[in-house]
Parts: sequence; structure tokens; C-alpha cells
Amino acid sequence: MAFRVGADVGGTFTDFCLLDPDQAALSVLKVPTTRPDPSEGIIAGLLSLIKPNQGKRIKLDFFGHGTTLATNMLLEGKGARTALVTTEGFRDLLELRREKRPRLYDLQADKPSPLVNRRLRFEVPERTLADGTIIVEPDRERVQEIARTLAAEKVEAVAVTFLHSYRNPRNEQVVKEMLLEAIPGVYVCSSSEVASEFREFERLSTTVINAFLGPSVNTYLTNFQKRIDRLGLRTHSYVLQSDGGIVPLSVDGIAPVRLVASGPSAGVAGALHIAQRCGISDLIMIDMGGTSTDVSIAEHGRPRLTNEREVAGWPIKVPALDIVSVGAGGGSIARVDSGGHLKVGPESAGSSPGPAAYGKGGDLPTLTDAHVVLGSLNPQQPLGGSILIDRELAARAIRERVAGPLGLTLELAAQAIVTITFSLTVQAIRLITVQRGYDPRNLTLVAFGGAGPLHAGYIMRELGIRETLIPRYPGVVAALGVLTSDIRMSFRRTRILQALSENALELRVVFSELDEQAKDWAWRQGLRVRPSGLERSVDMRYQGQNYELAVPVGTGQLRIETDSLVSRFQKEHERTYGYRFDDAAAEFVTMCVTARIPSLELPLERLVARGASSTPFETRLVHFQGDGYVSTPIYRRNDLSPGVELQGPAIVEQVDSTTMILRGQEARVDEWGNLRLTG
Amino acid sequence: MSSLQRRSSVLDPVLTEVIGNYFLAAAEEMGHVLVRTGYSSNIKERADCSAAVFNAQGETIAQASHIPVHLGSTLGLVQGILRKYRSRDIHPGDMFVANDPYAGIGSQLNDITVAAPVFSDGRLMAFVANIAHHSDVGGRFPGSESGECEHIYEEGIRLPILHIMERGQLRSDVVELIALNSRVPKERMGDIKAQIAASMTGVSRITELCRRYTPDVVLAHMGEWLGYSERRIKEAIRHLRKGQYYARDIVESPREESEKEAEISLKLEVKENKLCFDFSGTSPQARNSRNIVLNALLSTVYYAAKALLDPDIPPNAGYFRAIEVHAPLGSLVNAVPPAAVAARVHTCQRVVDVIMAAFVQVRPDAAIAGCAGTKLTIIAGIDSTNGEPFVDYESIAAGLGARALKDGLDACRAHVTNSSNLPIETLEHDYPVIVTRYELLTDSGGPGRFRGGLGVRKDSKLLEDKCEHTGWGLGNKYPGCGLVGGVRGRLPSAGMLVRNLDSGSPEILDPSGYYRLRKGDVLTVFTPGGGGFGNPFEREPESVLRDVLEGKVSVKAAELDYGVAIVNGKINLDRTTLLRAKKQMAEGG
Repeated sequence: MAFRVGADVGGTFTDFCLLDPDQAALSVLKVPTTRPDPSEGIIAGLLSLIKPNQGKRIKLDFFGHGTTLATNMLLEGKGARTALVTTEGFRDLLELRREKRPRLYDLQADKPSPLVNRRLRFEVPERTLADGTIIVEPDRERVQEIARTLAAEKVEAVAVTFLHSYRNPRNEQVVKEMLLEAIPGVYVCSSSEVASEFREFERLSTTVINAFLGPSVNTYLTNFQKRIDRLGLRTHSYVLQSDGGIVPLSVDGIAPVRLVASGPSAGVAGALHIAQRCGISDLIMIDMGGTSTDVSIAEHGRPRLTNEREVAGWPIKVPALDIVSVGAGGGSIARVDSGGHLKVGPESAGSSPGPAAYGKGGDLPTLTDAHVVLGSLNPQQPLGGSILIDRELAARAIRERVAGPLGLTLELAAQAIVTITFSLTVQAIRLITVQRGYDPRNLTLVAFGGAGPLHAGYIMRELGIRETLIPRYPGVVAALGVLTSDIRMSFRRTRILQALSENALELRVVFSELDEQAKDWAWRQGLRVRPSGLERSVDMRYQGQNYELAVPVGTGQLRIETDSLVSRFQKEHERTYGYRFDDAAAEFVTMCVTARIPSLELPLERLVARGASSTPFETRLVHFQGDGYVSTPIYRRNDLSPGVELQGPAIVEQVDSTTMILRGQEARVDEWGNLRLTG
Repeated sequence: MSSLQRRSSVLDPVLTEVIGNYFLAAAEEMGHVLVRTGYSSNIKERADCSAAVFNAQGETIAQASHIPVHLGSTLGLVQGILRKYRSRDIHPGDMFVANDPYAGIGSQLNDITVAAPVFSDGRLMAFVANIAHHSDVGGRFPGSESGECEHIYEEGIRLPILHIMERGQLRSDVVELIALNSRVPKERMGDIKAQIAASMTGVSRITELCRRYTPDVVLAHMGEWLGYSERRIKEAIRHLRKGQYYARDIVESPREESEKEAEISLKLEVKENKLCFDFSGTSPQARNSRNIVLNALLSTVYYAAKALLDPDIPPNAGYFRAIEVHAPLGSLVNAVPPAAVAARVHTCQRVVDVIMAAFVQVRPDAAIAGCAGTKLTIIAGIDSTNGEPFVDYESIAAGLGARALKDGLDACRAHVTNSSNLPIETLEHDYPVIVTRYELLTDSGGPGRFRGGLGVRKDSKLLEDKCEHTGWGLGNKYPGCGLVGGVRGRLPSAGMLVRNLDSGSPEILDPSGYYRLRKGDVLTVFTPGGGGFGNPFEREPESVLRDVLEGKVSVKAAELDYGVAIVNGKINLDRTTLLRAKKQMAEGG
């Protein structure tokens, strides 16, 4: 028996997806997330997954998981005792940041407190210039002295960041080697290996976070592997990175900072997989959970990446999925502000006390309460299979806190809560599409997470989107994502060059070096990259600008044609910003090579139609925006076989989610069991 | 039935919220395009620009959260356009450019505004505008923002409201005119193009909105969106203690010999649902560039009111209705031609400090101590590697004032500005300059029960001969004031600007002065810390110890300013008690 398993660790539940290739069957499992060590829950879940097969020879071909460990450490400020070694005169960069204040009008706002105490920030006389010339070699005696202090101070991790090291890493390398030798056992990383890109504060921030997370993440990865080994399963373990790619679980191969946005990227990977199986490659994904909604897009089957994520107030210059997060989900609290407007979120009732309808002492109205009042959530059916809901408690909270102050009826107040929430998501979708040069009407919406399918109909109507896909199991898309992600690792380096043919050679040299770095990484992981698996791109801009756009350079054989790169850049600039300069010089800024090893195809079989009709199991009154209460047929998702077509208004219920189909919309069940909304 | 209930029966408040947020998003997107496509370091790296949406009458509907003082660039914009061109002479595809503060546009000549009308079904619905700080618009000194100018004619090109696009056609003659007057014409061309692109984005977003909801619905909700902000600020004002509160502070003169220092004087009156700011008694306008025009004063007051009363009020003209400002014509805060205005941030920041000093008497927990301190450094010359002129325009932040229960932020842009610094790696790549030191300045934070944030020391070495320095320094003599017993921020005795500090012959310079620089010169800039809040002798000794251990306060200052004796990294309790008792006796307590 050779299984493949993907696990996604969420705030409340850890979800599993198990594939048995022999049976071509997927099964899913939810277990509570364990604290403080989520790997206990993962192991427990894994054990119960393989239990039915006890006695047989079990082999796990693949065991991948996404982890929120790095994110939580950063949010809670609980990392290693970290020191910084930097260029003389610059130890305060971590506090100076970019000199901006955190919030424009909020006089009480604070900057995030620096992850390295000022006493543990050390300066070394050394200097490299913008063109890479070293004018001062590192002062070796000073480095030795610092190493002694680091040892005396019992420092656990050290970040080495020198000016212009993206251009010439030599001084950093020298100092890193010296420190590794002088204080063995201490985690040391340099900025040129973690994020070899210009702009000193952003590179420094990334490197310091990497050091801050380093020791704990490494311990976690090591222990995790040991526990898996102890189960006697011969397996390859993998972990999901912030860019939505998975990498073999190994201490040497993973920069801890690359795991910081691992959590939300699993859902994107899963949604993308589901969409691609249906032949959809340009899409908007909304993952709507209890406290927030993540919005992202993909083009030609590739998710959009960014290099400008911030976590806990710190810029992180490693590739991550471009996700816009909105502080609104099922548990978000609705309130009327002093100007008489209704607001939803970002405060959340969480799972305890939870929405008023849970009857666990919460008396503030939430989005979930609004849906209970409107009838879109089944008052008889327990939520998520376990929580009983009380419509009267939901109604009371909305009446007292929203309907009363606004002078609205209960139903209109509840509908207003829903409208405000999906409007926030619509705004986020506009931000991530229109602002980046995409027209949402040409994309397919994929809505998942517990609350996504409840709002998809309204969102598509608002944006003029023609088709929406609701996955068969909207609640476990993330776990599926871990199972289906490609292995991916990217390598980046800044080298600012004019985009002229005489610089083609230098560009070529940088790319060949990055190619080698990528192949070498794969080799050390015991993997092999095909030539077509080396994906190259270069970030370009007009000379004088300071933000770049990524231009693909091609895979396979390395060919550099500067003219065609420039014209591709011009096109991309026009698409993104609406105009181009034909006479302005362009520049190459940062080169990127990504090693990609495609995941195995899931050998799933298409579902067989069991007759194209289905009858609702009940009819109840549900309130729709603009239509008021409508007698609405309610279907069970499990009863719907491929080919079934439903006319809105209708509601489709399943254990992990509820889908709302509006009047004028149609839903069809496809051969994979997904719901396809149109209209 | 309450007023809230009556209103909601007329218009759907949910749709107002949706449309209002759409306006904000459109403004933010214009700003985003401007920063992404801007050419000069000042816009692309420092984001020294803003964007806004106005209704057809010129009231601000939404302002992107960039630089509050830029609001002043636009308060009179639409009225100016409508005065000059009747509305039937304004057409789709038109775009306007202007920078003259005395025509009601802008608060200094560097801030060039580009504005465009938005039509829907042939009806003038709104205007969109964006403002970019151009790093050189000509005039006597490079960077066009010297503290030394005596009248506006020295400060650069003045643009009345002009067409930069007519029915979709670019007026390249106007672009050329602007470029020709700048020391760095290429940058001007690039930045102006980015501004035009940003305006186009704004026009298409608002047009889409009108198409989605119909012009009538949009107009109705536009009005209601203003009403919402007005209700919110009035609600906040209603809870304040009514009365009259007074405050004043000094505005330094750049040339101490020739002119005496000016003063800003304020009477703040809290009424039932209004705040009245009366600046009577403020000094007459000066023969230097620290004057501000009325629109700059208004945007400063609007900023302060929002920050103090309700930071989350949508930034639109609705809340301006609850604010009354009186400022004598011809005074420092309501200048008339030909007063120079380039260093307007200087006085705007001081105005906010004075407002805080008045407001702390109303609500001590909301105000923050003085933040007046910034060094604007402009270094210009010719880059010999390519023969091109360069203007390195950079402002360096000071510390922010302490709060009632928290220390001030170190090295941060204050109040009416919020641009970024220029990364050193960008600066050294773009200009013949090497930065040799950039760090927090020990002992610069104003002592207080809560300490002011620290200022900065930044050393830059020149790699070219025949360079020039201009700019201005705020807080050189009077850094941000303390509140409730707190002390002003501090600077080293040399002041804000020193040439060749670590050489045998350091030279103290006037931070607002004009100097010729040589290759190898090192300019050291010191910026002051923010003011302290509360009596420093009541600061927790542990907080003083932490500051000393982190090197933010020296052992000596701990003893003198805070009465805390620290020996070998530990608090000496006996001596601390003694020092603090002595202080109390000296003060007659």
C-alpha cells in the first residue's frame, strides 16, 4: 500500500487529505489542532488515517504539510535570542526602518519592536560600494571580539547583513565563515544567501527574521522527521513554502523565513489544482474562513507571486503568493459606529464565545448570526457537524446591536451585515485584479473555506463574473493543496544592468550561476530537475523607476535576447499601468530562477452521473438581497450527482459548507463533483 | 425618532459605505500608480505624493493616506478651475496642471498638481487630482526648497491653472515649459507622465462607478458620505470639555542676526459641535520661506483634528464642516504675495505642536508632545561619470513627541508629512555620495515621564567637486516642545549641520544655509528628538536603566535629566532617591 497524504494546520482544525492511488480514491479527515506543538496533532491524525490498514505493509510515498509555526513565532515575537552583525555606522537600521510612521492619523500607534536588542547589534568596519568594489575588508580582530561577546551573551542566532552585499557577497561570506568557526552550534545566516536583493532595510528585515526563526524551525523540522521515522513509515516528507511550492523537509534546504506565509498558500494551491483539472487556468480565489478572507489570483495556471509581503510589520523579501487579506469572516462582529454606519470586522468572536447563535455566551452579532436569521444557514442542522445553533439568540443580538440603532427591520439589518461583508471582499478582489491590470470579468471565481460558498453568488453578481466554481469539499481545499503542489524553490539575485545587448553576456552569467544554484539545491535534496523545470524571469523597470515587473526569460536552454525581453517588459508595463514609454531605456534589476518538479497527477476518476435530476430534501424561507424572503428549495450536496442542474434561488448544504444560489443564477454539478455557478 | 433613523429611511447606509469606500480605493489606486511609475527618487522611493477625489463643487470626497499637507494643494483646486473655465468649457479628456499657492493650488512650488474632470452621461460628476513633490522646479537654489529665499520669485516656476491635456491631446508645450525650468528636466518629464497616468486611472475608476450605479445614485451617496464624516466628528466633539484653551510656540528664523524669531499663537475654542482655531496674535509673515498660505494652514488643522478626535473618520470635506479657522491675513500662517513659502512644512509642523499644546488641556490622553524637527538636505552638482546634473533631495526624520502613557517613536516622519527615507543602496547607486553613518542620536529624546523619540545622525561623504548644499532645518534651536512638565527634544551643541565633524577642523553650518561643497567633504546631519511628556523625575527608574543599557540615554543624562543614578549597569537606589528629593525641594514641592 503506497499512500500520499497532505495535511493543513489551521487555527482550530488540522485537515488531512489521503490519496490511495490503487483505489484512485481521496479521503478526508479533520482533527483538532494541538497547542503548543501542532506536530502532535499531525502525527495523531496520520495514525488514525492509516489505522484501518493495520497489519498491511504501509508505505507513505508522500507526506506533506503546511505549517503556521513560523508565522505564529513572528506574530508572538517568540524566537531565538538573535544578534546582528552589520556594517559600521548602521546598527540602528532595524529601528530606523524607512522612517515612516506606522499609521498616518493614529498618534498612539507603535512600530513593531525590533527583533534584536540594540545591545546585540554589532558593527564591523568593512565596506562594499554600489558597483561591488570592496573598499574595506572586514576587520578580522573585531569579528573575533564580536564572536567572543556572542558566546558570552549566549546568543542562539546571528544575522550578518552588510551594505551592497547583493552586488558582492564576499565580505558577508568571510564574516559568516569566521563566526561559524568561532561559535559552532549557533545559527548564522547572511543576507546575500537569504535575500540577495537591493534596499538594505528590507533585506536586513528578511535576514533577521530568518535568524530569529532559524533555531526553532530547524528543531521542529528535525523532530518532525524523527517522529515520522519512529512510526516506521518509509516516507518522503515535504513542507509547504510561502510561494505555494513544496520542498523536501530538510534543515539545509529550507530558509526558515520562506515558511512565514506557508499557511494561506495551501488553500491557493488546492483551489488551483481543482480549477486546472476542470480546464480553468485564469482565476480569482477566495478563501473565507472564520476570521478573515484571503483573496488571490492565478494566470495561465500559475498563482501570482509577490516579493513585498509584510508579516507582523516586517517586510519579507522572499517569494510569496500575492494574497490580499480582509478581516472579515464567519465570526466577524458587526457594529454600528458613531456616525451611524454599519461595520463588520476585523474584530472576531472567534470560536469562543463565537457567534451569538452558538449560545456560548457571545452576545455580539456576527456574520454567521446574520445568515442564521436570514435562513441561509440551516437552523436545524448543526454547523460543522457539531455546533448547535439558536436562531433566537442570533436574532436578539442583531436586533439590539444593529437593527435598533439603524432603524431597520431584523431581516434588513441581517442582510446589511452580509452585504457589507461581501462588499469588503469585492473591494479586495478589485484591488488584486484591477489594480494589477486584470479584468475580473474575464476570470473564474473559485470560492472555498467554510463561508466562501455562502457569498460567491453575491460576489460574482457584483463584479459581473460569469462563472464560479465551488469545490466538492470547500472546507478541505487546503489539505488537498499540500497533496498536489509542485516541488518548487526559487533563487534570486539583484544585478542592475541597462537592458542593452552588450549586457546580455553579464545577464547570462548571472542566470547560469542561478541555474547551477538551483540544480545544486535539487541534487542535495536527492531530486532531479529537467531542463524544462528551470523557470527563469527577470524583474525589469524603466531606468529611473524603482518598482519592477517580472518578465519571463524562458525555460530549458538558456537564451538571452535583450530586445525581446524589452518588448515583453513594455507590454507588461502597459497592461499593468495602462501606458508605456517607447523611447525610455529599460533596466534589468533582479534575476530569478525557479526549480520546479511537477507533482504526480492525482489518478482520480471522473464521477458517473446517476441521473440528472435531484429533489430538494426540504423547502424553507430564505432571505435574499433585493428579493426578501423566498420559499427556497434546499438540497444536500451528497445527493447531487454529475449533470444535475439547479435553478436559483436554491441552497445546497453539506457538512463543511453551505452554497447560496441567487435568483437568475444556475448551478451545474460537474464530473468532479464541483458546483459550477453561472448567470 | 432619532436623526440616524430618519436619515437611513432616505438613503441606504450600506450603499453609502460601499460607494464611499470605492472613492477611497480609487484615490489609493491613483497614488499607487504614481509611486509605481514615478521617475524621481523622491516619488518612486519616498512616495512624496498624494491623490484625491472631489465632487463637482470642489469638496474633498476622498484622500489617499499619503501626505496630509498635500491636501492643502487641492483644497482650492476645483474652485480655481471653475473660476477660470466655466463648466461648459471643461470637456472629457481635459487635464489641468498648476502649482501656484497664491492661486489656491499647492502650498509650495515643488508640489505640482494634475487634475482631471470626470464625466458620466455628459454630466460633470467629479474631479480627480494627484500631487507630486518635484525635486526641482527651478529658482535660485537647487531643489527649489531653500530656507534662504526672501520671496516666491526666487523659488521656481509658478504655474497658474493650465491645460496639460485638451480633449485627450497632450499639451507637450506645457510639459516642455515645466521641464525647461528644472535642473533635472528628464525627471520632470517622467514624473509628469506618471501623474497623467495616475489621473487617467482615477477618471476610469470613477466613470466605472457611475456606470455601475447611475450618476444620480452616486451623487446622492457622495453627499451622504460627507454627511457621515460630519456626524462622526460632531459626535466626537460633543464629548469634549467645552471652553477656551491657549498655546504658543516659536518658529525659528534661519538667520539669527538679521531677524527676530516669530511666534505662532492659538486660541482653541471647543463649542457644542464645533472646534474653532483662532491664530490671532501670530507674527506677521517673514522674509524667509517659512510662511504658509491659508490652504496649508487648513490642511494642517484638518490633519490634527482627525488625528486627535477620530483617526478613522473618512478623510473628506464632511468633517471639515465642524472646524472653523481664523488666521490674520499677512501673517506667518496666512501669507500674501510675494512671501516665500518653500519651507512650509517647517511651520505646518510647528502649528500641529501648538494645537497639541492646546488640546492637551482638553484631553491629555489624546495629545502628543512636540515633533518639530526635520532636516531637509538637498545636494546638487554634476555626476562626472555621465556628465548629468543631479539633485539629491532628502529629508531626514527626527524623533516624535512622547504620548501620555508611552515614549515617542524614534526617527519617524511627523504629522503633516509621511514620506519614506531613500534607501542608502539606492542613494549610492543614483548619486555620487557615500553614507558613512546612519544611526539613532543618543540623548536627543526630550526628557519626560515618557521620553521623546530619538533623532538621527547621518553622515554623507561627497564623491564630486563643485557640489552645493541647500535646504532647511527645523528644530535647530527649538526642537519639539514638551507637555505637562516634559522637556523639549535635544540636539548636540553644534546644532543640526556640521562639515567634517571627525576631522581636525570641523565647521558648524546653518542647516538652512547655502554652501559650496568639495569632493571628500563629509556632511553630518543631526536631527533632534521629540518632546517629553510629564515630569522626567517621575520616570520609572527601570525605564531609565533600560534606555542607558541600550545606549539611548547616557549615564550622565540619566542623572541630570531624570535623577536616576546608574553605576555599573545597575540603579543606585540611595543616590537616586537623594537626587529626586533634591529636585523636588528645588522646585519648592
